[in-house]
Amino acid sequence: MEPGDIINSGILESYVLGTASVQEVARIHNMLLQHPELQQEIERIEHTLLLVASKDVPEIPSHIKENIRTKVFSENAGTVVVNLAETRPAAKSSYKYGMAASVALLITSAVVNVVLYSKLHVAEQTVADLNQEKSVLAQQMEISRTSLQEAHASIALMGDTMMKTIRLKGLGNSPAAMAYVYWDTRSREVYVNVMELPAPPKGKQYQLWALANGKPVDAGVFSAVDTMQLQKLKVVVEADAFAVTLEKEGGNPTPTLSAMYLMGALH
Amino acid sequence: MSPKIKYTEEVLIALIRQKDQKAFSYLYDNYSKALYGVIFTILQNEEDSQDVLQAAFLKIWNNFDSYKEEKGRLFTWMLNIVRNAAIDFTRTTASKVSSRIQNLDTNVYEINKQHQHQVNYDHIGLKAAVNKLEDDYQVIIELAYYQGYTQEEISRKLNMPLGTVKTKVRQALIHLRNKMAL
Repeated sequence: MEPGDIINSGILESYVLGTASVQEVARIHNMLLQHPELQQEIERIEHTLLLVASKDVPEIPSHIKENIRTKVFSENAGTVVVNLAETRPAAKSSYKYGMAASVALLITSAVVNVVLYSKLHVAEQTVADLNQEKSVLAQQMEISRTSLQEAHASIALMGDTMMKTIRLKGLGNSPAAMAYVYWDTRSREVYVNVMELPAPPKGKQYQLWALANGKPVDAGVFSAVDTMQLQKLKVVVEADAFAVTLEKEGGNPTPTLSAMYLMGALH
Repeated sequence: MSPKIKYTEEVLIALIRQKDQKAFSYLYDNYSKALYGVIFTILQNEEDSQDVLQAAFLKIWNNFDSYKEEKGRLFTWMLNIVRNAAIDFTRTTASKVSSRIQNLDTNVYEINKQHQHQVNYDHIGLKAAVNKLEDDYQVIIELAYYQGYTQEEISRKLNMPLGTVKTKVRQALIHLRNKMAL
């Protein structure tokens, strides 16, 4: 089922209204993993329901919130106060009682300490979790921002009319391989955009060559991993064709012709 | 109200589990009005609705352990508690309620779910926006939202194909959403 069909089916509404069956709920949760955009629709439905129910309703008196808050949070504090008050008069009567009271007080205090310590621990944990969540989000944002900038740069470059585009096609080694070379006719800088190229074996790297009058000139090595990115290579003064060979890491001074993967000529 | 922070549902749930005071405020500030609206729509009486809201909210907070994310959203869980509390209230005070019953010319408002004690609700005074909806939208929102009918039950009750019920619920909500966005 496509996300659009799910949205239109009305099942998300019954999910939020609490009338969906257990199986339907499980199905929706499954689909949410694959289509996070459904989450937005669910939140939209919930928001609408909140507004619908809140509309034209009399104000709730403010003491209601305080009533509930008091009932909810007073319990723990109350117990501690009572314990301390009860131990005090006993201390006066005799050494024995005093001793018993001290012990009781000590125990109470120990219990309170443990409770407070564990609460503190939970609070610290929450802060740490939230901080971590924050830094993860910040990192993700930074990554997204960088890749967006790169994409913008690539688009600008591809649309530049002073940029020559040369399509390199796969040869016998890998007929499906493909890459584009962009050659700036002003600065003579060369960029490569890998579309499809087999991952190089360990210790090997692809190298671009500019061919001028049949003579190969090194244009730099590049990575075949990130196919989304334009990679800036060397400045090439003259070329009537470009070719890619597989060389040892760091490149070779002359191309290994038997390991040629891509080739494309300027028109 | 203090500066508006927006918790994600995940964070809010985690904080409530730790009985965080700010989470209590956040929960109340963001949901109480709608929950109260649901109760008030069913009970049609402010004082009763306030009592039921308090009791239901205590239940939500104190029994939060029984909320499970895999069963649905936080709002859905709270809606269920609130709806049941209000419906229970009408059951225990059925005689009081019956005195306020208005006569209706359609029978769709009579509620008699098999598993429920037979209760005659007030003609639920739906909000102005809902009133302007076509009749079947109105009835569907009322049954699905304020009475918690499943879509199958609505389909049986209104003698309407299940598929139609599903799309009607959606259309009704879209209609309301557009209205309120203005």
